[in-house]
Amino acid sequence: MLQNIRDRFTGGFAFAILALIGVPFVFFGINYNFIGQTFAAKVNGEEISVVAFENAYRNELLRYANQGLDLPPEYRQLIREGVLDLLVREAAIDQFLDESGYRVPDKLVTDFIQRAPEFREDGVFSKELYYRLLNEQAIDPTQFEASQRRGLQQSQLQRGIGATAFVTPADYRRYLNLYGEQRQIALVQVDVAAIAESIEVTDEEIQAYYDGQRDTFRSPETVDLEYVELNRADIAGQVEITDAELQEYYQEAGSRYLQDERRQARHILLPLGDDEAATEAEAAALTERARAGEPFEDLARSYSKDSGTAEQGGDLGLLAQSQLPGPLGDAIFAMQPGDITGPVRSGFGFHVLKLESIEVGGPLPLDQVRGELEREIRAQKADDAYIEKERALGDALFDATDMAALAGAAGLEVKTATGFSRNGGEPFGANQAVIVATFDERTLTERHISDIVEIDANRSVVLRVTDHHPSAIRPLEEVRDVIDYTLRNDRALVLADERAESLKSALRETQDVDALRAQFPDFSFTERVVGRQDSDMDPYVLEAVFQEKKPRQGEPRVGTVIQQDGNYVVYSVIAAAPGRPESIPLADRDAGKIRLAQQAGGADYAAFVYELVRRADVIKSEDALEAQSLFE
Amino acid sequence: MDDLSEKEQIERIRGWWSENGTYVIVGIIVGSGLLFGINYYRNQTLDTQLEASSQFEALAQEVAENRLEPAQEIAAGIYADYPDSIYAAQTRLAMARLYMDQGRDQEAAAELQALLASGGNSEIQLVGRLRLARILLYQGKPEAVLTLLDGQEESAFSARFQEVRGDAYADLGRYAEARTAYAAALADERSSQLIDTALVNMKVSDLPDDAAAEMPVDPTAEAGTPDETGDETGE
Repeated sequence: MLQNIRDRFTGGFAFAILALIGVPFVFFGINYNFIGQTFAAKVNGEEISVVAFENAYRNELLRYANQGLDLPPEYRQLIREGVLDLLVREAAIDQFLDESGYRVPDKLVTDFIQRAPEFREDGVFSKELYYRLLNEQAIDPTQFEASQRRGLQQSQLQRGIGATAFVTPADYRRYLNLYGEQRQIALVQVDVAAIAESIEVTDEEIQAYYDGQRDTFRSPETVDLEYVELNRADIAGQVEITDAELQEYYQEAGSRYLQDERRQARHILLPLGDDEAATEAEAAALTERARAGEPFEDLARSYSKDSGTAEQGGDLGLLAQSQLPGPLGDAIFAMQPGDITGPVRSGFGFHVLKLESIEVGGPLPLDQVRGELEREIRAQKADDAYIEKERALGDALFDATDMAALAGAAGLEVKTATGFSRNGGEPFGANQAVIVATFDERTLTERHISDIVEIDANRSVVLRVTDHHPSAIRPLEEVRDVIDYTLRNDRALVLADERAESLKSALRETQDVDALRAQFPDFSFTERVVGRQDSDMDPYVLEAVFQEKKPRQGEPRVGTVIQQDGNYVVYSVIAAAPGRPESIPLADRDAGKIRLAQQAGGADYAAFVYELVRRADVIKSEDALEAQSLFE
Repeated sequence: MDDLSEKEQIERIRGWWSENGTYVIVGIIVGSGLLFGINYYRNQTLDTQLEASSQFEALAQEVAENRLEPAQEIAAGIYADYPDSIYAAQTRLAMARLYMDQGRDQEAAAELQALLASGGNSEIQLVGRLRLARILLYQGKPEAVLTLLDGQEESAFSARFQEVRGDAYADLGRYAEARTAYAAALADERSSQLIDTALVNMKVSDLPDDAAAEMPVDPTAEAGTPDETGDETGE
């Protein structure tokens, strides 16, 4: 056929066709978009396909999902960018490995694979297991080995940079000097609550504050309610079930709990040997001996080759016919108790059988199903009662003028609620249906009884407003304590500031804490030495103390900080001593150095990889980055 | 073509061959020679790289176990046989680490200087430059650190370089410049991955005020020369 095409493909006609096909390529080049394919990124001209990118992205999403995290869409975009960056880094590393001539001998790859516990059986590498596992995961062995080789090359690079980092003694000393720094400080606390306690606030001041900010003391608009509530759980709790009802229901529904007839039999099994006739004859002989009166159990123990039952005298247990398919079941279910039959041929061999007893099938006894039946009856009766009471309420609503009559008609009680506002309140929470019904013009001002309000599928209510409390400015007496506290606290903070300032100047003047104690008898001063990691210090104070510059001789660094409990602390940093390697046990020192060296190696490798990417020519496809499923 | 008889076809081929046969033969010889050469070269290179790789693995083992003499021996072999390979560069880094572990900073520095000697600015040379700077700092040569890092163009190592530069300026008492260098290190968009930001922040607040000519109060103050610090950290 190709020959045919070739033969005809001559002359001007062929040339014209070629030109037609060629023109698009001349103008657009071979663009993969053209055939529905495109790339997610290009690293030095090497493409990362959209398929590879989407797979990596999906795996990453799966990882989050496995941790039970549901991601908002804006994070997904970040993850897409992160995944693409990761693929770009990997591509850059791979290219570096190839160009720099990283090589790993076959021996190292096979050794590495053979050491993996996944491919070991009883501690030895198993070739069969290896191929079977790869086959199960649909992984091509050649590709798998190539990926392992790649991993080993990458490990050479990573170790070559990460594991060769070191920490010089100077670096380590600098680190310890800073992390282990100790500061000598003096602290004095200004107790804001105690100051507030000591402040006198007059009635006039409270009145003035109240007059000045009346609007902030406005109470919300509320109503008091009386209501009748229909609640499925309450009704179900009140349902009574008589024995007669249960019995009747059992008669109707009992057929759902039918049980098959079950039979208890014994057997002696002789497996099919090479000589079937001989086996059958042996089975027939055993049958005769059993019929002649030899105890079946003893014969089963001696001759049966069914190791599971021989010890129990051949007992098969209570079984339904469905559990005993084939000729064995047919034979057992054709026997009468006490019968001995044999030989019966089944897939296992020849059986000699004895039927011991029959358990007649039929409905399960009432006591076994009582709980389930009662639950069903209760739910049914509660449903009926709920619907009936709802109808009764609805009927009564036509002409009821007071709630007591309404409640009586449905066999319910009238309950009351107070302080229900437009934001809701107990016992209805913030249920919108109830709020709307309550603050409806008809209900609120005309005091009509509301319609039936459905709170949810299991709860309805009819309500009436008994009292309306419009929003009002609360009387001074109600808010006096709040104002009193506010005024005290505001003034206490001002006073605390003043005291802190005078303490600060005193602390700047002298580092003789005893002299300060004499000067400020009302305050308690503490002196101590603290480290950055001290956990028994208030964290805010600790942070403030270590953010101060180092003090100079005779010039302590003084400041104020509000600690976690809201009290003021005035501190003075008197001296600072760098952490000393000598104060750390030798073994810990070495461990610390190793840790720092690893940290440095990790950072070096990170910088190295970022530098590879920085030097590479990277193009990321905006389309691929932003492509989202229509359903996301 | 179907019109030509078998004989005529053979005649034509003969004629063509007598005209062009020599070229064809020469072409085939040259072509296969080239092919063979390229293959041979490739295999040679591959073999060399594989050997270098095995040697490097052996070296890594010795370095991990802190055994200087066998490591020196293997390293000398790698430098002699595969001087331009990536494995030679990695060996320089590994040997520098081993020498530092043994407290021999001179030799460690020499290894890294050899790595930089080719004059390039490859990614792996940036690693070497950074580590050499740290050794120089330890040797009490902050000026040399500044020279070594001077003119380093923007790279992914910038934050790490800036931190060392800050340390060098701090050692020289040029606190304003130290502060600028540390700030540059902290300003890097990937600073949290590239430097210990908590430590650099501590270094910043540890710098004395520029105005302060006098040294800060340190009740246990002592001048830190490399030799002393070396002894004290138990090296």
